[in-house]
Amino acid sequence: MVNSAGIMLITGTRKGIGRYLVEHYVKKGNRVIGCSRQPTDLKLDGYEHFCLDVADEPRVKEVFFEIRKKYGHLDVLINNAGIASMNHILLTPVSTVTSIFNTNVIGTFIFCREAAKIMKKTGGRIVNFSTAATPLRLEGEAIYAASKAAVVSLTEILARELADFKITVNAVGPSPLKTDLTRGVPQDKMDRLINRQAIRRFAEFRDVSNVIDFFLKPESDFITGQIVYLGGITGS
Amino acid sequence: MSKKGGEVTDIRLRVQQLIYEAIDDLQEAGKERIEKTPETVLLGRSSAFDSLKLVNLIVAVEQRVEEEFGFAISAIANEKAMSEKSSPLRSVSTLAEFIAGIISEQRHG
Repeated sequence: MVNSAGIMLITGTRKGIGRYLVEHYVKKGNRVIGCSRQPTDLKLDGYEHFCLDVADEPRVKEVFFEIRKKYGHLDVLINNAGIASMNHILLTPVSTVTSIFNTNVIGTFIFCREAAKIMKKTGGRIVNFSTAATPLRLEGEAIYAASKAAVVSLTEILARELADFKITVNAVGPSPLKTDLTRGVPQDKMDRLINRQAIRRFAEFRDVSNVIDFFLKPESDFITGQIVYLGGITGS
Repeated sequence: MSKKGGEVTDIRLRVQQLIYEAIDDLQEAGKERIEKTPETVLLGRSSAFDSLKLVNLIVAVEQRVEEEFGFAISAIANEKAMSEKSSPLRSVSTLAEFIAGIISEQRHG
């Protein structure tokens, strides 16, 4: 991308960080397409919204077909949609595992694949979402962390598979943000978690958009396959 | 021939034409031309397509088919696609037949 206005697709935009990213990139002059399972009340010039489940392959393909017909190209994909469920493994039903992997892994995969088909002519940028829970090996988040470990592998390998098409693939791994995903976590657990960071504070939405801005800079065309964690957490 | 059978044949011929157009797009200046016949081999040792070129061909065909028929089709490259023995990517004609089947199935539910 993306010196000036580009066409961007962001998943999971009804609330939280996804909604913030829509506002952030519309403000920068981009045309932003978003999606979520439920309708949105977000109305902005330069923004359009689709209702879909990111793991619903036929529906996702329909939306990409619409994007290709309407715009002919796509500059950026941000795979923000994600769900978490915090529970001890002994109390985790398979239905939870299926649901988390459907959204976090299969959804990310389908969007990467379909976006790359459009981007391959002109190049593009894909940004996925990992989490600090993966390198921190957080107890109680085995399935969520495992799903995001899969996103890390996907990111690293797609970076290689898509490099010939001038598509970069990177990921941001936020440390705890105050969102719906962390709302149910007890305060003492959040405090212990934040104490494992080098910089001990909650992440802000702007910390996340700052990393994504870096991935999208025209000068970042040599940056791919990278996972950037916030707050001084390091991957391994 | 049944009405549906006739329709599939028409679609197959049109898809075959779209595959030829996609091959034209992939032809590189100065390189040996890739032959365009129903028997042209797409997958395997005797194919003129290396793996990246084959990926490009499949995506180009998928996009042309979607534009021509006006709806998104399910992925062409499924589990069967990369097996040389039974793959729909064996040749232009097998690919055209496979895609025509997908289109007909999606049209008629």
